[in-house]
Amino acid sequence: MLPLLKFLFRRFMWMILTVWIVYTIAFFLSRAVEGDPFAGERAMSAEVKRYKMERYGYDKPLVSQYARSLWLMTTQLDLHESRKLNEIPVTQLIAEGFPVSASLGIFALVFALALGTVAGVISAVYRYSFLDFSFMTAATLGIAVPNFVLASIAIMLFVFWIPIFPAGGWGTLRQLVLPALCLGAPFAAYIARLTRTGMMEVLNQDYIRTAYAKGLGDRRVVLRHALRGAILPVVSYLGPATAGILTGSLVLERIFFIPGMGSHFIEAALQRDFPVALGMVMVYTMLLFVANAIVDLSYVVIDPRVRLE
Amino acid sequence: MSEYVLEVDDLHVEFHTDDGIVRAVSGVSFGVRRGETVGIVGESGSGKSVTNLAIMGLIPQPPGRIPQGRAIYGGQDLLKLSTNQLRRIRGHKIAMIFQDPMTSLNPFLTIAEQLMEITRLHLGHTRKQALKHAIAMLESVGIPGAAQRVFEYPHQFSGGMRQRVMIAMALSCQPDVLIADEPTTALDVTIQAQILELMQELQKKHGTAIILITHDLGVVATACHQVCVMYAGKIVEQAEVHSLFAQPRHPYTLGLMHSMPRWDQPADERLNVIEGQPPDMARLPTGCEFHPRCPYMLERCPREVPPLTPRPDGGRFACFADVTTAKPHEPEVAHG
Repeated sequence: MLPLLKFLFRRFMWMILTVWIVYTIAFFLSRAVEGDPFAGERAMSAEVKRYKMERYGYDKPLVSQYARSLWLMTTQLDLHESRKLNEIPVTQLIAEGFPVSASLGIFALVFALALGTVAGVISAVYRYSFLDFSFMTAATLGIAVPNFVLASIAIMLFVFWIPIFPAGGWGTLRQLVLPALCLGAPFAAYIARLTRTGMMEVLNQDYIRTAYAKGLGDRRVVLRHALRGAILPVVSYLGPATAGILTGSLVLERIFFIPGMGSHFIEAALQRDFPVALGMVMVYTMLLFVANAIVDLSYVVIDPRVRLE
Repeated sequence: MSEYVLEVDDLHVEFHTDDGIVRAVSGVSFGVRRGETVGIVGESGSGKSVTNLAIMGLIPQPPGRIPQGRAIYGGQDLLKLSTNQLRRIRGHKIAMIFQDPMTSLNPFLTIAEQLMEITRLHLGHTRKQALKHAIAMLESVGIPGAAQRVFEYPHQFSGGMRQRVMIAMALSCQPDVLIADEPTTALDVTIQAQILELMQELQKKHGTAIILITHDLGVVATACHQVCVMYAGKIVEQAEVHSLFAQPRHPYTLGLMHSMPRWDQPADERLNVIEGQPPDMARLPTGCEFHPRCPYMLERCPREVPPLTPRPDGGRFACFADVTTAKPHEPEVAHG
């Protein structure tokens, strides 16, 4: 128990340090580019603009702006308000968008893991067969086809030809299916390839030959002796993949009308909505950290040779 | 001679590679009796491991193929059995231990799991029985604190201890035949001796027949009753261990013995070696496979294959020359 606490504590400390550094870089980087939140299509009178700049403190020196926003973030968890979206607090944007993106992401991830590992194992066991060839072709397509194409095909197939799923919206389980499949597809494809490679490597190990020499059958050798080792590359891929998948996708959220937070990532940056952009960066950083910590912990569970240190 | 527990007869194994057909084993015959150890000696690539993997049905097909031969165990030809029938023999009646104990045990499973699954499969043990049996087996191979250590993982054991675990695993179901593929090669010398002793002790207790694959003549001398010397996929000489060491008949056997360093040899003296390289198995020499490296080569050797002929003391050898009287000369291919 003590090593676990020590591990978590150390990881937490590293996370705080990293978040601070990322915040600092993101803050100055976002200010280093041309433009400000009020450079809209509609011309704004110089008077109004000056008033707005003053109101949000953008007329002050950059360093004092930085100090103030860092102070507000650490002491009050205040990430300011969006400069574009009716002055909604960024924390509220996250609180509304994240659960949506995350639940979609979790479904997509479970789907990707289930499909990817099963396809990968089958491919490795029946390597160079027709089945293997079909799976790996599908996997290459899954990685190569952009998700807006996939989404369009999915909508054509399952909304118009065989109308079993709604075209979009949010709130019911049926509305979740198509976007989750489209979001998970490239991840499933990648996981399938990783599993196949890992499995083929493990199946060549001496201890697999030992297992066969003991008289064990294929199923037991593959599932009990080989799978754990084969899955390790997938587990390390899952860290960054989870962070990416849980923060949503601009394209899919647009296509399926999902009120997630994937759109904030892109739009905030394009519109110089500084607080929202920074908030998104923070969410992503922390997610990545948490996901990687979970990955490291699961390594310990899967591989007895790995220790928490 | 039907007293053999396991008899291999005219076994051929070939691999289809991009480089052509590799005849890894061509026409190997030997048998092993209850309580007896047969050593199979030869260089890497001489087909000694492939022979035994073929007996166990562990040659991946393709690229492997067994065009000819029989391996008779219990009145059945193992090479004709289905995978399911063979599975009931593997690990149960014929068990195998491998060269590298570091990689032959599964690093993800505890010793208990790896030992228990074998008796649960073949002997129908319950979990409780299997665990008890596993601990007893570990104790019998001399692992101290077996009752606790059984729950540890392979990486928590030293190399010698891991090979003991492998032996315990292989002997769990009291097999009739134990195939040991270079069981001591990866271990240091003192541990080697312990492992060989342990195998002999267990053999005496249970009457297990052992096929011991090795390239180490020292191991052969200590542990074997019968010896088969393999070269390029064939048995070139086979004899009882004492007569083989007393009077090798095949130039290759002789070469192997001469290339063993001796303790009474002056330290500055060059070690004797067999000239040349082992042959490319995809492009074997004509006639006797050994002739390009042979210091006793006769005119007919590149043209004719010498048959296995009886040795005066009961073994067999395959050579036209009489190495007991002929004088050696420089082989044809020196310093490949």
